Amino acid sequence: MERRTFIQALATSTYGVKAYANAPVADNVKAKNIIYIYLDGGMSHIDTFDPKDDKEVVGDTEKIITRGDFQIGHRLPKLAEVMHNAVVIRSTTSKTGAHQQAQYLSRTSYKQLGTITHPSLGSWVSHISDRDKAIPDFVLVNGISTHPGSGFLPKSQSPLPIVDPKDGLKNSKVDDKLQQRMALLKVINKKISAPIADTYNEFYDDTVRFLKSKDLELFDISKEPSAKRERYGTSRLGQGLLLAKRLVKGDIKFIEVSSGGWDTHTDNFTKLDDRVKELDDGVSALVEDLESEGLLDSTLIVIATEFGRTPKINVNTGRDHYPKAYSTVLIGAGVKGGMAYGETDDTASKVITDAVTISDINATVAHLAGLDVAKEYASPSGRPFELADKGKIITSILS
Amino acid sequence: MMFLVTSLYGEVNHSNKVDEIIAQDLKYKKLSMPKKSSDDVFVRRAFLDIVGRIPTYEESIEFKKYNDREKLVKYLINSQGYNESMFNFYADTLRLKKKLNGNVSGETYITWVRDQIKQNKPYNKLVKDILTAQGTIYTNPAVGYFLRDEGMLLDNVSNTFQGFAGMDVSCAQCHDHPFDDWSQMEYYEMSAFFTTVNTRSDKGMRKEYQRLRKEAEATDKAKETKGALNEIGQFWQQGGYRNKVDSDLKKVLALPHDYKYKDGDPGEVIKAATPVGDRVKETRKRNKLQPSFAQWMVSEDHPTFTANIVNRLWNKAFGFALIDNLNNIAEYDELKESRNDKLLLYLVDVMKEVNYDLKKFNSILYNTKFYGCETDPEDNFQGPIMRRMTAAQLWDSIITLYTGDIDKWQPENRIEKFRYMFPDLTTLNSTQALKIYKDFKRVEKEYYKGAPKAGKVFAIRSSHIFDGRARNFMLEFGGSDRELIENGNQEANIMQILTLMNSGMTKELMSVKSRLGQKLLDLKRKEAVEYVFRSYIGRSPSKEEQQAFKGVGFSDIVWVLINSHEFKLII
Repeated sequence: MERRTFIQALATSTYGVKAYANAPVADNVKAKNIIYIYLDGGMSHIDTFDPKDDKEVVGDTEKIITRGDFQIGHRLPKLAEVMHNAVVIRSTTSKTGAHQQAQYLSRTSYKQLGTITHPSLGSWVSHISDRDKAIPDFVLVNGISTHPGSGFLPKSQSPLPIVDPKDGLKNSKVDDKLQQRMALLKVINKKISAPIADTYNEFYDDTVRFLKSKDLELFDISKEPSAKRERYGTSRLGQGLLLAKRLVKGDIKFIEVSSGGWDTHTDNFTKLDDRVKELDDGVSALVEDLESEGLLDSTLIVIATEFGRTPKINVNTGRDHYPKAYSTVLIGAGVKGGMAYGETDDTASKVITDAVTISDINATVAHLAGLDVAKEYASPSGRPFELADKGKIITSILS
Repeated sequence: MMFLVTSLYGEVNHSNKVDEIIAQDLKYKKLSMPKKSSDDVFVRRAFLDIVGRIPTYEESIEFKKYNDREKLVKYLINSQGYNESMFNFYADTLRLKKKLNGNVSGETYITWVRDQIKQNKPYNKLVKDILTAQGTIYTNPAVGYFLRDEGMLLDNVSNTFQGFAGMDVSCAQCHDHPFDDWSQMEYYEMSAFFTTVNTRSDKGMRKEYQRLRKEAEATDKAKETKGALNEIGQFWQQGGYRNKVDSDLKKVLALPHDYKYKDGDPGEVIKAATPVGDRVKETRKRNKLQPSFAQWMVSEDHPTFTANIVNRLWNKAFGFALIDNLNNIAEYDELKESRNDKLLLYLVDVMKEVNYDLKKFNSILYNTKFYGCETDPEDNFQGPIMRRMTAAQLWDSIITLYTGDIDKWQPENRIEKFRYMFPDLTTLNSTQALKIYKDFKRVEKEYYKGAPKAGKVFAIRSSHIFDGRARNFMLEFGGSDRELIENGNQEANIMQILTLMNSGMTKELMSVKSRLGQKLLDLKRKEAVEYVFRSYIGRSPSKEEQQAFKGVGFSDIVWVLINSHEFKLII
């Protein structure tokens, strides 16, 4: 089975609705593929992409030079080497300081409500791109159960979940008895003739074809040489990024890779020694590989999180939630390289230039994916929405 | 009308009357009455719809012996399985979660709902109790309804209308409804009934919390403790202290700063008023706001309250709604046109007559001949609809196959335990508070104590599952995420098929060491095949099937059956 058909099969649902699709014009697509890295818990901006000189504020974090015209924290030595491809946005600001609400806002651009679920950016991209009608071009690696998924869009735009990148696509190991069992299944299924039975027959046939196809290998990172696997780091983030790279090669549009453990209320610095190393190993290897395979010009990597952390170090050597100022990073397709955008004050506690909201960032990413961020879309109940809630494209960071 | 209904019909006659109304309608549409389903099909369907799971081999055989559909319905409605299935029904409407907003544990609220179902508390009374609840999650678990949307009063009001009245007023939260008559002013007037509901604890309580924080900060600084400050915050939350629901009679609701209509000014204080049904207005007694709204909502004269629950229960039984969709059955103050108006209005009267006793009402539905008909593969009102099991039905059926008795394990009711665990805040110092929190965390984890497992998964009812792998299974099969009311779906996708084909659960069932596998050791080949067929799809194998399965091993038969249409569909 061709990949396209496989993806289509994955997407098709019994009630697949393809409402209001509006595929982008190819010329407008700077980022053909997007790898969206989400750091669950809130990454300390001060100890990573927005380090300061004030010892009271930075603790043990030191500045290092990069191949861009800005400095970052010393825990990111490998990323420093690829920063000429990146724009570090230091002026992200929000008002939401609780995890779930802030994560929801990051992924959907909307405030969480009790009466509707907004689609996450990945579902928007896959839904509107709609390259071959109803493609779930959205894979979610290490996802969480509170992920808003496809929101009010058709369920067929829900992300395909990869629980652990090491295991690949769940339940996809082929049994040599498959053929015999399928034959018996056909015998017993003859008894029921109804439209819903036909639908299931098709699903089973598609599934069997997929299980026998080469596409399955896209999800199998054990096919990579072990040296390469180690270069990404053995963490779930690192292995997830390696999987993401394979999926980009297979031309899947939006891959979200989550990483947990960033909520450093206690022992911020020792915890970050591990977390940031995972990020540094994984993302640097990813950028290098995409570049050497000629895919960095068409792939955008986003590093996002729900908020920053307090400049004040608390009694437990930790940092608490801080939505007022934090960092977001864009690397690769469509963005200027080697650039820091926006600025916080000397204590990283306040944005002083070029403040942007998460909506602005999502609008920029969506724009690079070739989507029309000004267009209004209607939810099934008729409520009007824009895909990044009126966010403004940050034009000065576009290449 | 009410008088006539009461005097002329008993429960059985209500079922007959429902059949009569449907028959009339079909005749008028020149459609035929559907055929009576076979007994095997009926038993399986009645188990799935009423107790949420397939029957075991033994249960299926037992019915064959006494062969009385009415008796079966009665037995099922009075069994624990009915309570569990109804719990799932409520859980999807009330959006029950293990953690409420603000991270408070929702366990006591969940247990409370379970208790109400067990008592078969009249539905109108239940709604009233929910809408008037005050206290903490431990002193009065029903406050969980408000705490589910803590800090989001306007959303809570929208959910109240949607869940209990089938009215979608959420648009009017921000502007006049674009294609319905609801105005933003009316939305605020409705919401004003709940302005006095205070979900954050009062000053006195917060002062105590600050005292505990200071103590914890001091011990952290002195390195006597680590992370105590953080944990005191957790204690404050999880102990229910932070979110005591009570009345603050001084609180008022003002129009938003961007209010743009002529009937009010931004910032203007709005007085409570109901726009539809009986007109109820705010009086001087502000402590009456909550109860008078609740009374209005459950009043027999409310234009949609009764129709809403009727529609939802009908949908549960027959697989289609009388008014589609469940969450939006009204156009302003009138019911939308239904699939059969006469039937709907009749059932609304019946619901009132049985005083919102849902067991009685469900008995009436499940005892209709229409329910006992063959399913409709299309959607022509010719029998219950042929549909895929819900995620919960599928899970509970699989667990039935695995354990045999799915309702043997029940979680402990811990409402009292938690209530005594968290004393008055003024009596505690930070060390004591932290000890209580530590105990709480330990006890909280014991929820699943003694629960059977299949591999790494709890082999228990869907109604007891709120997280973990089993929960993921349900989400994969379209179980509601319980973020929105009735947010589940029965759509198919390939991930589900991969799960049925290859998951650990399927392998557990295919193992000869499984319950069924062991049972077959004593049976002859023919009996064994019969046993497995009836266990999975509720019928004996046909001649052709017996032939085709000749020499096929247990594991392969199980694989085929669990993947068959007849297993996952309600036919």
